[in-house]
Amino acid sequence: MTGDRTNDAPAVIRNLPTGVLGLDAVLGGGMPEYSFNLIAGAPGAGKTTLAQQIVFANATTERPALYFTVLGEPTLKMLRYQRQFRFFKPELIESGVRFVNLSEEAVRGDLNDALDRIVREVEKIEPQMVVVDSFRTLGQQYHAEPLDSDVDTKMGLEYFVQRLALHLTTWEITSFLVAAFDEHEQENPVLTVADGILWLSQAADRNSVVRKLQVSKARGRAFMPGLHTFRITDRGLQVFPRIPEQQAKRIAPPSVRLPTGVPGLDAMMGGGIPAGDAMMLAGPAGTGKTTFATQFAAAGLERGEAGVIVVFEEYPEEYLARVGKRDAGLAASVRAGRLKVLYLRPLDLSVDETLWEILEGVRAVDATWVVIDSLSGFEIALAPTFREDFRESLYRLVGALTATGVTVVMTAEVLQGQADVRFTSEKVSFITDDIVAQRYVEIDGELRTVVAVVKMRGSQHSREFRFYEITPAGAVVGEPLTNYHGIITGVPDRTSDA
Amino acid sequence: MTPPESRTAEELARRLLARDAPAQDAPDAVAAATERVCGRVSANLSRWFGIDGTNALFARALVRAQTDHPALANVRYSRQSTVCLEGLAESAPIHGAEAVADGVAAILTALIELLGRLIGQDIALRLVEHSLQADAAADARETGEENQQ
Repeated sequence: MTGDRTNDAPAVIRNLPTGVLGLDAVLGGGMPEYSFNLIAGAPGAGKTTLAQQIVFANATTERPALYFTVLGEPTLKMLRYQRQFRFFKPELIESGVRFVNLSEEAVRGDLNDALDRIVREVEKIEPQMVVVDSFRTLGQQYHAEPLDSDVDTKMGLEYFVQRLALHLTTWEITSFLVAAFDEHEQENPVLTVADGILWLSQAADRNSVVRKLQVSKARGRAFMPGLHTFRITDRGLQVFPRIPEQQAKRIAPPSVRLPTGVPGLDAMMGGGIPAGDAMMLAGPAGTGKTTFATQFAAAGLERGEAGVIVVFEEYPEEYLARVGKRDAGLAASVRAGRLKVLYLRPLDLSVDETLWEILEGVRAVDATWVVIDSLSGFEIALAPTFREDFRESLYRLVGALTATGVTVVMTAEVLQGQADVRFTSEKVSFITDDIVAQRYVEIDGELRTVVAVVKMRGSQHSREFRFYEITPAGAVVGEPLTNYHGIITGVPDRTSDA
Repeated sequence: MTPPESRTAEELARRLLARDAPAQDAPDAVAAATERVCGRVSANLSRWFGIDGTNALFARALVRAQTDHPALANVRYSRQSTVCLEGLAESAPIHGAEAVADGVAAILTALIELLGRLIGQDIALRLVEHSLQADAAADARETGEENQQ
């Protein structure tokens, strides 16, 4: 029987915005309305800040939020520090966000008292959102009471949480328990009651701290699994969703070639860089990688395209001043809003944060290309934990960028030994579509520079080495080295028939 | 010159006191009224900051006000009692009703200022002002109950 399926349709669960950039995407659209959630993590992980950010994003005078504080952070201090964040709306205090102190109930260690007080306040205010921060301090006092066994203690807290969840859901309230939990406690029976669990963690590695968020449970949702890095700034938390999920929406680039801005190189590449490719300019220090990269940028700007240059080693002003001697148009394009020069150098970046910054830049100017100058700088800017597997980091970054349809040009510094025949760093060459190698060669006692197209995925290209010079007007590619052999050693010999 | 934020704090403190001002200037009546005001503000703030937090705020405010108001010299903040200030009744006959009222106004002003420095004056004023609204609501309830009887 086909019949009317209306009755079979699942109840629509509305999503509430978290007010945390990136978190709604991780949660599969937002926080399910009337869900009972746990925000867990070690002290200092950002639990209270996250809870308050969600509260202030949703509370209104008509549907206020109730924030119960227990024994952890006193309300006075909490307000003092939390109001430093931009999400904090002082005008909502009392009318839209009401704080209630449960320390007396906590000190007495009577969970029934605590529950009664919560229920009384809920009945009085009829809030849309409730937070208990930190609910575990209620449990700790309960533990302190003389009990028959540890089993009784656990059941007591679990029963309290169950009753609390039932009450709050019946009152159509979206609620959050904030609690300090260690990662090894993930099997705690209290966690089974929650509809959603957000784990926050932070790990110090050498001089950097990396914060991570994991949605370990979200009933009835397709959330993004895995660990997502986040940062706490004056805007509160910002989550950087993992890249693979972002790659789902791949945008096909147009089937055209983008001139590099160096005519001789375009000829070697069969007309330029295929749009949407990731190209690497690899060479030792001083060979003019930045010159080639900025000529590509300048050519794009001349065509009327917008772009993003990402620098790690010098401030944008210094960078533009240096390259602007040759390409004055770059600075003008920045002023015109067609070029964005991003400076990323915190030394504790995650790949996802780097990508977010770049994608924001791409969106801001509607860029069709990105120049990353340089990969060495990017590697150093990453937090050590991501640096350890730089290949994976770069693979994710480049994959996610090219998935948006932009063309990526990267510079990479490689060492050149006398007998070294490698054109690029082994670590990263596989992630690029195209590789242009720059090298020093000694010709008749003079240090010269040569360029070769090593790789172009799916395209014919020149196999020649060609001289090039960095002139005041930029890089100029010259004649091929047709009468030499052993060029890749850096000390070529003339062939006998030359 | 009094800074604007202090003026606002003092204005609110005076309004809180004026609401409970006794009809006559009898020292006992003034002392009782001021104690009531402190009790109400204290009870309202306890909902937010807990009893310990509110006690700490009042204790600090009292110490601050005592430096300028001799009438408060022997006044103590009671941490357990429902009456938050002790010694006002004894001080009133010696220093006069007006001096005691001024002293309590100074305590409330110091409390609002202190709270303002900690969490921002806007929130501090709103929370303390809420004591007035809560009082009005309680009065309305009481009146309603009396009329029903």
